[in-house]
Amino acid sequence: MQPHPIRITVAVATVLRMFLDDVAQPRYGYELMQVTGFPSGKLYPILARLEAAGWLHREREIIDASLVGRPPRYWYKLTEHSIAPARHELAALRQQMTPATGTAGRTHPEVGLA
Amino acid sequence: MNSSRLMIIALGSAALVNILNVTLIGILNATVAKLTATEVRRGWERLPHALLCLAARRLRADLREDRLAEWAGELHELLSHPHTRPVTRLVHSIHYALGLLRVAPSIARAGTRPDQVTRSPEGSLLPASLRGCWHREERVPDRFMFNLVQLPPWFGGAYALPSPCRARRHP
Repeated sequence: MQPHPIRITVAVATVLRMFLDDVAQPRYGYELMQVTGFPSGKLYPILARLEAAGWLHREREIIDASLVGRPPRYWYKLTEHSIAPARHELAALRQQMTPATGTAGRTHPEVGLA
Repeated sequence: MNSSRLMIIALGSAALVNILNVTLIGILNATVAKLTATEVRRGWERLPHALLCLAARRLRADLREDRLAEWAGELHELLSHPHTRPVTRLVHSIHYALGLLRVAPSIARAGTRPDQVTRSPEGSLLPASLRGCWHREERVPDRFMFNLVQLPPWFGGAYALPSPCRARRHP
């Protein structure tokens, strides 16, 4: 099933890139906060939107909390069908953000040619 | 001769008693200081948990336990991070919980489908201290931010909500 389209902002792209670095690697919320530098108030709504749209899959660790002495954590992974669209969206965003070469992209005249 | 010997013995025993007193008072002081520090630290560590409970109250009823279980797991990681000092850990965890308290409505609005919510018997996903915490009735009527923390039992302890959170609470 294809994921639903969502608005890819720079913040969303940053999160997606973390997942694309190693698609097999599950990521925890706190870990993502550390690597992206996003606070919880910014990261968790993005994760919730990506999960609701079918881009991310969230799952609970299977552990015995009383044995390991800590509550179980939840990890996120890209869904199988979202890997290609995520790569495509990142490439499109990168292209959009790359400054144009040649005269077409200039916003001011070159100094010293007047 | 005898009197000087007696004086030496008296002085010696007085010195011994003094040393014992100082040692005992020192041990007592250290113990009380350690107990107090532990109590204060535990009290402060309740604050981020209380904030997470408030955040859970702002979610849809079907999302609360699942999301709170996720946040509690991450909060535990924050509070037990080995390479940061206790005060830094506490500041980070309060910042984490405050962030979630602020954005809980947008997490609720994200449109999580029922099949994306982890189902379990009532309350079993959560640590015992957080089970059903969003059901706790407020007993402290004041609206100060201090009421956000779980007050000690001798103060009539319970989670209390400031009025804006109460107003936005989902059924």
